[in-house]
Amino acid sequence: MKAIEVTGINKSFGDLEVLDNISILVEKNHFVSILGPSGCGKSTLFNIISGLQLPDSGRILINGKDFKGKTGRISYMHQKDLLLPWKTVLDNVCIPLILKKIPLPDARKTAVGYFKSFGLEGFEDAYPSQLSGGMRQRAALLRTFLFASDIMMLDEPFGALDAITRSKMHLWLMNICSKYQPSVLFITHDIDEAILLSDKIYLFTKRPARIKKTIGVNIPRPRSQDVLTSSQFQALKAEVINLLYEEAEENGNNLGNNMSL
Amino acid sequence: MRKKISPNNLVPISFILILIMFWELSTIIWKIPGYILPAPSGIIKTLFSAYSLMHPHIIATLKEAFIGFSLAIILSFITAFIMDSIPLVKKAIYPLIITSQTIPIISVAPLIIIWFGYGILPKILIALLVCFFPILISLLDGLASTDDELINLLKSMGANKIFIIKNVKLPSALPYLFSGLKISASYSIMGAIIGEWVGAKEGLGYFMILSQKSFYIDRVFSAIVVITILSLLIFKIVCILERQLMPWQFIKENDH
Repeated sequence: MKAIEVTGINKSFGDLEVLDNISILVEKNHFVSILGPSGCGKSTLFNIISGLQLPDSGRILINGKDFKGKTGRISYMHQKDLLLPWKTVLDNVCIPLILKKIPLPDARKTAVGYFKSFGLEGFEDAYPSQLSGGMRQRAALLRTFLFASDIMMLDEPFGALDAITRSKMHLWLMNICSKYQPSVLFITHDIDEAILLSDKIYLFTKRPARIKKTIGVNIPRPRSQDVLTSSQFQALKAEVINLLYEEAEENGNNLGNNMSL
Repeated sequence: MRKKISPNNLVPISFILILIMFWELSTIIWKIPGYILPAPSGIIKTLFSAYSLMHPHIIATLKEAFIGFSLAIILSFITAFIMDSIPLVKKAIYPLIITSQTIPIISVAPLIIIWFGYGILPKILIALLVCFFPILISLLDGLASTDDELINLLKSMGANKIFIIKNVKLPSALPYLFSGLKISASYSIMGAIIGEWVGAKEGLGYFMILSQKSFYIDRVFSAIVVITILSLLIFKIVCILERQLMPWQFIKENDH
């Protein structure tokens, strides 16, 4: 089964070419990452897949159905948590259910059932400003999950967190994924993060973004932080870094600013 | 309401008390006559003895201020939402609104009296004019401050315009709105008084002019005290409303 199938997407803003013939496939229950430098148009791609923007050309199939320019099927999560400061955590995560016309009491009941797995238990009535950064991101992910638990797009969700919190979040996210088996499309510029979490990585070039290489990650699951030091991981990381340097040399550019190695 | 005199309040309160005592003493020491500067004790005494005389005027002023303030809120909401949703309208009107703020209201007040007579209407209009702009400007800034990414996210979840206004635009504009409301709240009484000052048959402004012309300076001061109390009261009501409507603004951050 194909959860997300994107073929031949092109997009320009005026003279600025952002996406150049992008094709991406996310199989059902797979975790697929897009790894590329900041500002390469990854977020534009997400806006196109979520239906907020129209591509100049190309097809977007979600579970085999055409969803070009149609919102309301898959939601995405940002580096910013984008929680509403004036709503409690519980009411924040209920928003997608409310938008699906589910009455508030039922929505709350459904949402509360997930608070434990998402590490938010006891904070139902707290306001977002009372949560730590990691908890806020987990609440944002729960909101995304309650919108569409089968397919999720995550746009650098842990980019603003400190390293220790981020590595905890990685393990937690893998846990959630093995428990609920969603199909995930994940944007990152962190190589370790991409290899650790993914089944497949699309390596993007600088703008206009093209797919430089598709890399399969066959490290067996469940994975723990030990994976980070395994030889298989190191070999993959070396391959990715080489490809990125190659890319940087082709463009005569320093990649150091954009990628965290 | 938990109302204790905290060390924070102690400093300003004692300072005011010292000032009042100094005032009281200086009227005694330098034998200042009551028709020039009445002593605070005399003002308080007049406040009670002349209260029945002032009462209908207080009601009249409050009524004008309240109606003007309420109309200003309604009108500024409508204007702000139109200006926020149609950028062309905002571009056209915004500079005009800012410029109109530079016209002293006291110079316009006589015109309004000429156009609308000596009744309650011109006072309401002046209070409205004074209150309208701070609310409108703060509301406009508030509506413009909303996070576009947040709106995009909710749109991607299928939210419509009304949902976004109710759940995002309005709540995020509330803190801005309330800073405008606080300014306007105290202005509303002032606006009504200015209207009465220029020409009226009742109200505290009218009462002050009458008292002044009859050299009842203590009554003028009593009226000033009443005006101050009324303005502070309205200000306080707005502050209480603010707390009620925005509980998330008054929680301690990261207290887990």
